[in-house]
Amino acid sequence: MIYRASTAEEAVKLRHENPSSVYLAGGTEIMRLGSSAAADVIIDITALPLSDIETADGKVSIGALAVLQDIKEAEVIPSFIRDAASFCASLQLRNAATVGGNFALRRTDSYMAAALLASECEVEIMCSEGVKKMAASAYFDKPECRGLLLRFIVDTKREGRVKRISRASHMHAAVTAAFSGGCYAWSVSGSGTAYGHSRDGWKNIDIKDDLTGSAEYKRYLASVLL
Amino acid sequence: MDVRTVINGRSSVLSGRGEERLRDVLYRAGYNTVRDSDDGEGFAGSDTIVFNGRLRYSNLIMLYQAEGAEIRTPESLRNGQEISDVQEAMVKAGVVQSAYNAPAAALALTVLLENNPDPSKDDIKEALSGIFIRDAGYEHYYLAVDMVKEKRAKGCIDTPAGPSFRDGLRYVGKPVGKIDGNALAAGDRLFVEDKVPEHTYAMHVLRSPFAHAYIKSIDVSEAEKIDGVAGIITAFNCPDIYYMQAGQGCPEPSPYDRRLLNRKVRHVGDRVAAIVAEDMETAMKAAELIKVEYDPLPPVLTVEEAMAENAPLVHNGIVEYVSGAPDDLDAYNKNADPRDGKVIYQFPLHADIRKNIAASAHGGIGDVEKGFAEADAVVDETYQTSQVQCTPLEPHICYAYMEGGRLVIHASTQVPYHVRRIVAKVCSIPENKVHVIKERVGGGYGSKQDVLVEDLVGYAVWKTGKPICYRNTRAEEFYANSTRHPMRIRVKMGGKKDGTITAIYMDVRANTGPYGNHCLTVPMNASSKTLPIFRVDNMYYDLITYYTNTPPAGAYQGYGAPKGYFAIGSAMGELAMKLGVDPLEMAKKNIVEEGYMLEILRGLGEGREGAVVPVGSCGLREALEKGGEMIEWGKKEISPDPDWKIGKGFMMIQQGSGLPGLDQANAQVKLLTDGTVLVLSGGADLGTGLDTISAKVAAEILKVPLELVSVVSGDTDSCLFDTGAYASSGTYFSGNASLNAAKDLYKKIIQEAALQMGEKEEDLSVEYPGTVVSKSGKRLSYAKLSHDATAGDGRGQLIGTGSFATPNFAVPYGAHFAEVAVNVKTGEIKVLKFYALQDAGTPINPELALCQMYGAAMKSIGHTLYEDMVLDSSGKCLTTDFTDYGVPMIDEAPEDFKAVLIDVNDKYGPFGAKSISEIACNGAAPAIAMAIADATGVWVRSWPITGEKILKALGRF
Repeated sequence: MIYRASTAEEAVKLRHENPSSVYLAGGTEIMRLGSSAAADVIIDITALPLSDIETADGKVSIGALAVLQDIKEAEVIPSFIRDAASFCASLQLRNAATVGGNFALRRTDSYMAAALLASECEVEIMCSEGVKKMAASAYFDKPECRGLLLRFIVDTKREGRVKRISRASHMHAAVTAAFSGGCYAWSVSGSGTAYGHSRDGWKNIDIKDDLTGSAEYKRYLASVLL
Repeated sequence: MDVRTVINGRSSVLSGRGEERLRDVLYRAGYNTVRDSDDGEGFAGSDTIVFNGRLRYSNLIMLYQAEGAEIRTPESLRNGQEISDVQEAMVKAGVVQSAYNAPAAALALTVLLENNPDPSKDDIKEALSGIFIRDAGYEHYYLAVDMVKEKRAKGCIDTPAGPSFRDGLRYVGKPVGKIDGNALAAGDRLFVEDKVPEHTYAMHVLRSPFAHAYIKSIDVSEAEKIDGVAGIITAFNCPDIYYMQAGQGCPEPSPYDRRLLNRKVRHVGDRVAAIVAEDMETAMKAAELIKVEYDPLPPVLTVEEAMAENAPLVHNGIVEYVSGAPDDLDAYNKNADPRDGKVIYQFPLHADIRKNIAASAHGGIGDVEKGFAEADAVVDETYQTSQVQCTPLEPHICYAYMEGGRLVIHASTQVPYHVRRIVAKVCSIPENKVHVIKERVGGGYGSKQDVLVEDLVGYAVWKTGKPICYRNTRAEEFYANSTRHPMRIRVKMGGKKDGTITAIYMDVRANTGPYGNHCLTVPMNASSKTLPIFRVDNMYYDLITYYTNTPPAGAYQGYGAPKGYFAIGSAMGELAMKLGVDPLEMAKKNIVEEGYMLEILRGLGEGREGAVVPVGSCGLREALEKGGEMIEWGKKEISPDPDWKIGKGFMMIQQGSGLPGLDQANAQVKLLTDGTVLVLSGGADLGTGLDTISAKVAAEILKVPLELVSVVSGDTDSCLFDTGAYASSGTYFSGNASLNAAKDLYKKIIQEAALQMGEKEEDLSVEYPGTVVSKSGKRLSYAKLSHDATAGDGRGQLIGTGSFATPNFAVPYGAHFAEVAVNVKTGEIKVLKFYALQDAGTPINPELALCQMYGAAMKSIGHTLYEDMVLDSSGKCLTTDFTDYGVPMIDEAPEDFKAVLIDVNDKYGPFGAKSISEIACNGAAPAIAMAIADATGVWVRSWPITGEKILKALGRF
C-alpha cells in the first residue's frame, strides 16, 4: 500500500496508524534492489516542500528532502558536510537521495551520518504532538521514533573534516569518520555508529567482520582516520 | 493506472501498476533505450533518464511518481536517421562498442553540455559517474566531449580519434568509426530483448540452495496445476544427454560432465527445475510449489579442500572416453555412483575425478634444477587470484521459438555455431533444424563464449513448442554463470646478478568449480601465454585443475593469462629486488625477439603436442623502452604528504590471435545488383568492431566506398561457419576469411568483366570507386557489371567465398606501466598513471583498438584492486550485486591514462593486423603489484590487492 502524504502532519499520522510503514523520500534505498527497509505501507513524502537550503542568523537550514547533489553544490553548507554528500559517487543517486533519508535510515555505511553527527547540528521533527527541535544525535539515537525529519540546522561557520574508506568509490564504506568542533563521529560498516567528544568513541561500537573488511582492519581505521 | 507525463516534449500516458518501476513501463511503452543492467540496484546506469530536469535512475522511480513529470529518454537525441552531435562524437571517438549503455551515456553528456558548454574533466567525470562502462573504458569520453565542442565551434570534427596506419590504404588503419556505430549510439532495437514480442512465455529456473547435494526427489504435481504453466523440466524428465557448455571447437578439450539438469547439484544456484509459463509471475509462483528433497553432501570450496585426502568428490560417476580410454577404465568405474551421472572425455585430459582432478598437464624445456643451481638468487612464492565475473551490462539472455518445424534462437553469444551444435545435441535434432541469430551483444568478455542459457531455452522451446524468453538476473550472473578460474600459482624463478633469468617453474592449481568448462585450456594459458615471452633456457610448468562446489568458472577475456602474468610478473619483480637488479633491465635482458625459436611451445599444446614456431612480428622491446620513457622509469616520485608513498611497476605481455590449427573462419562477399557489396561473415561481432573490419577489408580489396559495404554476421542460416569470437580470433581469423572472400570476389569480378568488356583478364584492374578499367581505356562500373551478370542472359550473381585456417601464429605483444600511490596510514590506493603500449600489428580500427585497451586495462585494474566474489562457508555467494562485488567506475580510472599502439606489420594478419583486447587484460595486476611493492616494500600476492592487506603487511594492525 502506498500513501502520498500532502502534509507533514498527514505523513506522521499515517506512520503512527501503520506500524509496518516507512517514509519514501528519494527512493534510492527503499526502492533499491536488496533494500533492508521492508514495510507493508509506504508513505510517500516527496510532495512535501522540504527541499530548501536557506541561511539565517549564522545557521543553514537544510530541508530533509534536499538531495545530496544540492548539498554538494551549496556553498553555504560547511564544506565537510558537502564532502560527505559527494561520497555518494553516482550523480543519478545524488540527484535522488535525500539528506533526511540517508540520515534517518541510520545505515552503518551512511554517507551523511558521521558528518552531521560531528557537526552537532539540530533537527526539526514533525511528531504527533507537533514540531520539535532537538539535537540530531538525540533523534539518531531513537530509531523507534516515527516522527518525520523536517530539516537540519547547521552552524554555517562549523569547520570539520570527514573521511570515508571504501575499496572503490561505489562500494560500501568500511568506515566513515568525521570531526568537527571537538566532536567525533564514526559509521562502521555492519557494526554501528558512534559520536562524542572522545577520540576513542569508536570503541563503543561492537565492530564486526563483513564484506568491507575484517573487524581488526575497521578498528584500525576508526583509530587513525581522525 | 494511467499516468500523464511529458516524454521527450510530447504529452504521453503511461500505463501500468502504480508501484511498477518506471524503467519497465518506459521500456514497454517503446522507449527501448531505457535498459536495465542491475535489476534496480541503482548502479549501472542503463536505466538513466532525465526526470524533471535531473539525471535519475528510472528503476528507482515508481510509475505513479511520474504523474505530471517531464521525462527525457535517449530517444530524444535522434531525429529520424540523424543522430545528435554527442552521439556522432561518441561514435567517432570509438566509445560505442557493445554499446548497451551508449544511449544513456549520450544522454548524460548531452545534459552536461546543455548546462555547461565547456566542461572540465571533473565535470565530465561527474556526468558519467553513475554509468558503468565495461567495454571501452572512460578515457575517450573526454575526447568525445572535445569533439562535440569542435563540431559546435566550426561545424565539423577534424580531430582524429586515433593515429592512422598504412598510408597506402583508404580505410584499414584509419579511425573512421564503426559501421554500426550510429545505430548503436542512437539505441536502435538491436539487442535480443528488443526482439521479444508480447505474449512470449517466460522461464524461471529453480536453483539449488546447497553447494553439494543429491536430489532425492522432485514433486512438481502442484506446480503443474497452476494455470499458465506450460512445462517443468527437471533432472527426472530431461534428456539423458551429456555435454558441456563451453563454446569450443569440437572435439572439445572440456569434459562432457553435465546434462541439462542433474540428479546431483554441484553449486549453490545449480539448476534444479526450469518452469515455463505464460509470464514470470506464474513461473515463480509455480516454482514455490515444487517440492525438492535433497540429500546434502559436504561441499568442496577451495583447491586445497579439493586436493585433500578423502575429500568429498564433486563428480563420482561413470567415466567414458570417445578416444584414448585407459586400459583400466572398468576398474576405475567400479565404485562410481550412478547418481553422479557421467563424465565423457573426447580425448584424455589427464583427469582423475576420483581425486577431484578435472584436467592436468605439464611440460617444459631444459633443466630447471640446473638453472636454479646456477642462479645467484631464487624466489619461490605462491600467488592467489580470486573469482571474478565478466559483468556484461546485458545479462545472458535468449529468446527462441519454433518456425516451420525449426528451432529459431535469438542469442547474445560469441559462438553462434557452437550454440547451434550444442542445442541440436541436447534436443537430439540435426543442426539443420536449428537457426541461431546472433543479435548485438551487450558485452561478452568471454562469458558469452559459453552456452549457459541457450541450451535450456532451446530444449524448453523444442519440448513445449512455446516461444520463450529467458534472461539471467544480475544475481544469477554472479552465482550461476561463468567466472574467471581462481588459481593458486607457485612460481620459482632463479636469476644471476647480471639480470639473466636462469630458470622458471610454475605450479598452477586451478579451480574450475562444479563443471569442467575450459578446465584445461584456461589454466593452460597461465603458462602458455607467459613462458613464451621469456628467452630462458630452463622452464617447466605443472598444471592441475580441480573440481569444487563454487560458482562455475569459464572463459574470461585474457583466459588464464592475466593470472599467470600476475604470478610470473610479481615473481620477476621479487627476484629483481632480491638481486638488486632493475626489473625493467631484467625484462629487457630476458625477452624474446623476432625470429627466436619458441621451443617451449612443444610442451604447451592444449591436450596435444604444440608446434614449435619462431617469434613473428614483435613490438615488445619497443613497448618496454617507450613505456619506460613515458613513465620516467627510475625516477622516484615523492608525495608532499608523507603518508602517501608512490611507486612504479610494469609488465611485458603477450597473448595470441585465435587458435592456429584449431580455429576456422568462413565468409562470403556478394556483389549486389546495383554494384554495392554485402559481406556475410560467420564471425561474431561483440561490439568490438569485427563487422567494421570485414567491411573495411572488403572495401579495400574491391576499391569501393565503405558506406557501400554492409555486413551480416553470426547468422547460422545466412552466413558460413566460424568457430566464434574468442581467444582473440576475430581480426585474425574472421577478418582473414572476409579478406579471402573479397579477394575471391575480386577475381570473379575481373573474370566477368573480361567477358563483358571483351578484354583479357590480365589487362583489367579495379579503380576506386568500384570501376573495372582496361588498359585500352574502357571502364565498367560494378553497377553495370553486376546488373548484366544477373540479367536474364547473364552468367549469375558474383559471390566470393573465403576460408581461413592456419598453422601460423600472429602474436600480439606489449608492456603496461603503472604509477601507484598508497597511503600507508589509511591503506588507500590510487592508480595515478597507467600506460598501455601494445603491438597489434596494423590496427584496422585504431580508435576502437585504443578504447578496447582502455576497457581491458580497466577490467584488469578492477580485478587487481576491487572485484571479488565472496562465498560463505556453505558456498553461497555473498556478492551478488555490483556494489558488493566492486567494479571500477569512472572515479577509479587512472588520472593519467594512455594507450599507445606500437607500429608493427604482421606477416599473417589481414593487412598485417593482430589481436588487441585480450592481451590488454594481462598487464595491470603485475604492474600494480610491482608499483605497490616499490612504494611500500610490500608484495601483496593475492587478488584483490586491498588497503587492508597492505596495512596488515605493514604491521599496522
